[in-house]
Amino acid sequence: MDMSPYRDLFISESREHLRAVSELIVKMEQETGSRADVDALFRAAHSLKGMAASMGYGEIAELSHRIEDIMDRVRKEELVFDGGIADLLLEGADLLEMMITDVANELQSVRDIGDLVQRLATYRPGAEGVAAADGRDNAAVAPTARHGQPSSATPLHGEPDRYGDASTVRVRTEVLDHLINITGELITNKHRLMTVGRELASPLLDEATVELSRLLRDLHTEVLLVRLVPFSTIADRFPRVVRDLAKKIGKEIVFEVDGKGIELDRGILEGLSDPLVHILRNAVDHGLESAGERRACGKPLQGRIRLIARREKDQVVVVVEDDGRGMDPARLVATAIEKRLVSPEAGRLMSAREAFMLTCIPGFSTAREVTDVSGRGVGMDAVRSTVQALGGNLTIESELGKGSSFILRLPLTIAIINVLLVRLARITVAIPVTSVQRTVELRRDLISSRGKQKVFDFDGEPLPLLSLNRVLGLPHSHAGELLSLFVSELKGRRVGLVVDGFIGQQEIFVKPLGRPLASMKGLGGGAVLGNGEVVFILDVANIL
Amino acid sequence: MKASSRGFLVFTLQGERYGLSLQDVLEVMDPSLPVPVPRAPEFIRGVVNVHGNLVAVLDLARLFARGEAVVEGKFLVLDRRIANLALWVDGVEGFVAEEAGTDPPADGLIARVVRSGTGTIRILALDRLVERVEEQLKR
Repeated sequence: MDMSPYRDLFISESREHLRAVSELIVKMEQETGSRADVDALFRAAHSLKGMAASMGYGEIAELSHRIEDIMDRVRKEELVFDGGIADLLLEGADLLEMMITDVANELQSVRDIGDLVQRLATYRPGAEGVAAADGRDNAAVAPTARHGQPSSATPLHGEPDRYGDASTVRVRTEVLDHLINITGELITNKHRLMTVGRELASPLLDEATVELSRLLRDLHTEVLLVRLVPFSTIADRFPRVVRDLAKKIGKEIVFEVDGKGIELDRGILEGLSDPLVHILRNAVDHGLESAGERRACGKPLQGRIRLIARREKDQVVVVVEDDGRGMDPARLVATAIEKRLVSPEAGRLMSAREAFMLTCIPGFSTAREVTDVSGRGVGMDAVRSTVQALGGNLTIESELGKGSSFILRLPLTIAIINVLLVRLARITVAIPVTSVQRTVELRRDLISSRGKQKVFDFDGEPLPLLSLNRVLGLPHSHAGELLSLFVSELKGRRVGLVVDGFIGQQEIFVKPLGRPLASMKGLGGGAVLGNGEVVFILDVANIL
Repeated sequence: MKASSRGFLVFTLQGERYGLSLQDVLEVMDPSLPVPVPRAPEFIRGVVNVHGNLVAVLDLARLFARGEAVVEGKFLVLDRRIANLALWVDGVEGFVAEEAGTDPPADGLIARVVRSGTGTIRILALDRLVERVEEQLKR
């Protein structure tokens, strides 16, 4: 059986979480644990649950879920963390460890989790003696070996499996994140040195900073390389997803994957999994016609879906294309107007490209089924915002009768992105260049009015003008002969966003805003420029 | 949890004494000028750069609707596990070990009130505080 690398990832990661769980339980039992320990334990169980669910290991997910629940009760101070809980949790951790070892050894596990799940769900303090006592016998239910090996119920830890060798070193992902953080800081500092160097006009310092730049580029590249994993890590499970769904709805489909070796940042790759599953399911479900329909059109009976990953300069492009029925822009526009998502006037002016993007507006698609692959409903709107949150963008191409392509452009790395710095009143904000279709210096006499809306002519298409200052609640005078604006897409509609001036393009190191600022709509992070100035990165698609 | 083994950092705000669990505070800093956040509510004064991290500055007095932070105050930078947040308070009084005797909570953002020497200290319910701020930012 092919050892899917995705499963390897799951195994190593879930063991990481389990180890943390065991350590924390013991720590909390011995010396009163801190609030942070309770949270960490809760989070570890939560992550484990999510990972297992996405891999289809239902029982691991279920058990983790119960552990998460009980820690949530502790967190909310409904329960006191006592010996009884510790026993139950350790029992759960042991059982989870066994189940993961079964996964590693490719055994079909039929461990009985029902009893423990029951006791976790109904735990009441004081009853721990009883619970712990009868729990011990239940913990070690033997796995059924598929290949007829004698089932072994004994060793819980250190059970040898093929993942124990030392040819690679596992590094915690936080360490990788920290490394990239430090590298980003160094790059920011280099910009600072260069600013100082220019003022001092010292050739020796210039030379040193040039050398430093070169070294930092190398370091940055190396650090990024460490985080890269091949596309196959997620792509290898898609054939199964497509096959199962095709079978379920009775379509015959040829599915091909190209570019499995293309490497992407681990964080981006993980984030891509759900959106790609959604796009693939759409292609199988709605994109491809039934065999009868295809015959009538003179197409080969088998539908074809291709998933392609390729490098294009500093981006990775992932494309899902099908040879199905394609989309009709006029019909999409009509639906959007009917649902009052766009005005009839705006609809009339839409290009085909814009019309396809209507499918990404929240509320456009009515068939918002809950997918059993991801476990929750993800519409195209979620797909698009996930891709944008990863610093990329989504475009759709389609030809009626010939098929559709969903094109995802992603940065190789999350942490450092290219931005356009713009001035708004007294502040500077950064716009990811992936959100900028064009910058324009517009003569005022080219502005016309359409009702209350100011518009300008953009390649023959009247685009509405919006003051970005105004959107952000900043003073807006926009004086001067020429208006500086950039064209971007807001809710599937192209607009010209007017700013007070362009400062230039720059690479910046993205700093996450964390709690609580990350909950603000339209903010995509922050950054510190070479001169020490703090700027905010706008998530343009979501500023309204 | 053995609360008696824990200490509190006591700070002042508009003449009242408040406390935070010591382990929740990463650092006490002198105020610097925060960079305003577009569209943020008034009680978010902006962000400051704390050793390379962007930390939002919360004006507690404004949040409590009791005036606003004083320039000569202090920033209490919270542990990152709780939030990327610094509280702008009037001043720091010092540390106390918790003493016996707690009164029921006075309001949603106060976890409890403990007696210390001659006065009382209102211990902030930090998680509720962060949640409330988060709620308001989502609007």
